[in-house]
Amino acid sequence: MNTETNTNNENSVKICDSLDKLIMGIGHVVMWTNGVLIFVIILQVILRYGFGHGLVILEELQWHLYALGIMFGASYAMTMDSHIRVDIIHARLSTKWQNRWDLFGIFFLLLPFVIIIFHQSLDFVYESWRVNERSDAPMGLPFRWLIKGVIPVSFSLLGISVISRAIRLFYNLRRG
Amino acid sequence: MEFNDYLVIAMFLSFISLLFTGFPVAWVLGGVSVWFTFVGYFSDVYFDTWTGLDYLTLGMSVNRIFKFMDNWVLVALPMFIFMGLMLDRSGIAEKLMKSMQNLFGQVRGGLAVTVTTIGIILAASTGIIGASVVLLGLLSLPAMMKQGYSKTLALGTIAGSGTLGILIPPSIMLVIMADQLGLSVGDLFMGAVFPGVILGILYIGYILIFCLVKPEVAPLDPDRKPLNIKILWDIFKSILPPALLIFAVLGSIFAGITTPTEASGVGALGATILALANKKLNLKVLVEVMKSCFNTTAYIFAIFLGATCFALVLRSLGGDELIERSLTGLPFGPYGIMLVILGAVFLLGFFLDWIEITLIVLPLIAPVVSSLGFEIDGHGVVDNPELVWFVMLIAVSLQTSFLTPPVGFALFYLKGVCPPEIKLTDIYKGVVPFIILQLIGLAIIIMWPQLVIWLPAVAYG
Repeated sequence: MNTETNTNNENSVKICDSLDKLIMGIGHVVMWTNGVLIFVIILQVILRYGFGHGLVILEELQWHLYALGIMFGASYAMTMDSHIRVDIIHARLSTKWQNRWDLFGIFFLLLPFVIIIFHQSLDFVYESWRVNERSDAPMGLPFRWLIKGVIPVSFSLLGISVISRAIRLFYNLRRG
Repeated sequence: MEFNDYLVIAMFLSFISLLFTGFPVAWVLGGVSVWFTFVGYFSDVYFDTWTGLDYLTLGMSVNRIFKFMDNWVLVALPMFIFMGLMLDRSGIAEKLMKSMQNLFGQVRGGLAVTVTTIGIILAASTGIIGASVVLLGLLSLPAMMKQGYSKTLALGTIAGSGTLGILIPPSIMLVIMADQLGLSVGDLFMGAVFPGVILGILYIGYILIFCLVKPEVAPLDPDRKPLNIKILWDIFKSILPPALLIFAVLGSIFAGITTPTEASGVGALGATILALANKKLNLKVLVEVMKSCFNTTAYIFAIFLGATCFALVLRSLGGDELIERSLTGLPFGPYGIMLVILGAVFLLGFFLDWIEITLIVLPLIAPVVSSLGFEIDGHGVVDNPELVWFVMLIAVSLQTSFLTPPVGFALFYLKGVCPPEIKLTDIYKGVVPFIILQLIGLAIIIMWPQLVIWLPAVAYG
């Protein structure tokens, strides 16, 4: 929600600023997948209804693009601090306590989840790579492991944005 | 009660209590499932219990995550979100407001009717309640205040109309529900048409009658122009483009010409063209819409990530059976149990958004509803008619919940765009009649399930 607060002077912690910049930069590139997705869908619609047959590749490309968007978004939304919170009580807490609960959540809830999914996804991708998995459809896209690889990559980006946030919260709390 | 049942209850309780720390819902879900997997594993090892949970259980959630990525139905989600965001910026709402005001301004309460109508037309807009309430509030509150409308009527109308979007197609909530319950998106979209129309009629009827009985709440605009052909032509011109767009999107799905995914892509392009035609589209707007679409999609799917993990652990513990047992064990009969479920959803709506409820609660209670044995005629065309009907009931209950003080979502979003002299209590007073209208609507749909089922049955039959 508050895009700019992360980079104002009061909250500035150098290492976090560069990490956040990295995440935002990647996000601002990946976000265009939605634009490309519109284009691909329209192309498919024209081919299918105008020329009588669509292409399997375009069909698969659609969910590949969508998958990129949804997975890379998690870290972007983390840096933007826009993940949905239940703020009935949260909104009434002092900033200090909000920060403390956030730090607690990061270490006890979020990081364990991120680390475990990251670790488990490595096997998942390796297995796909080992058998050189490709689309079931003969005309489909090859290299299924590449899109599966999005899981560990996006989770490590999520990890980076989480750690950046934790450092920032920690500094803010120390400063009082 | 067995050990697993206690674990299930503990899991729900820790989830709910951790939510109130304000930590993002998605990650609370993920974190709680990780912890309970370890609790289950260690109690299997050291206390001879049989939870069957271990590290591999969590590994299965990676497969599930990939199922979301490799999901052709959900591709429609970012596209509909894009379409909504683009429509919001396309200047269409302002145009509609300006032209319709001239027509409806002829009668008392006309401005409020305009707001409801725009709410219905732009319900396509998002289904993200915050966005519709904020848009309607910014657009119409100053105008209504200037014309001397009573605060409560103005505020109630905006909050009520803003929540219509989660029900009226193409609602992204219905896309997700279809995916979760294995229903057809087309059936749900069609099924939502009559419930949406009924609520719209109830709203507009109430506004007109109320203004007739108490004329002082809605003074007429002193500078209103007499109705002439030019005004009607203006309205026609301003309503045609968005109506065509929505007609094209829904019509092509309903007619079975395109899949919802394809229609969503066409809708996204259409909204962009509308913005371009209104000279509202430039690079800055496009970048903003892209960012906002990316971000909105991301926080919705983050909840998919957490909820998948949560559901997986809950299911291994037999949580779904526990819920089914306790609900079907209630001594109320099918309709009684249905009301208990709707009541629970209503209460959950106070602190959870529809996204969480759809992803966590709905899959758990859908089998219960199927087993209650409601005899609803699907005319041999609609699969699982009782679930289609049930989804509409849930949608209307959620809408009502978002309107209900003290903590309905719509109320806070509205407060956020109100001038400071408007107090939260004014909003509370304003929404009361609309909550009653919602309950009437809900009762109508409960009594006549065919209002939901008939349209998809006829269309696809």
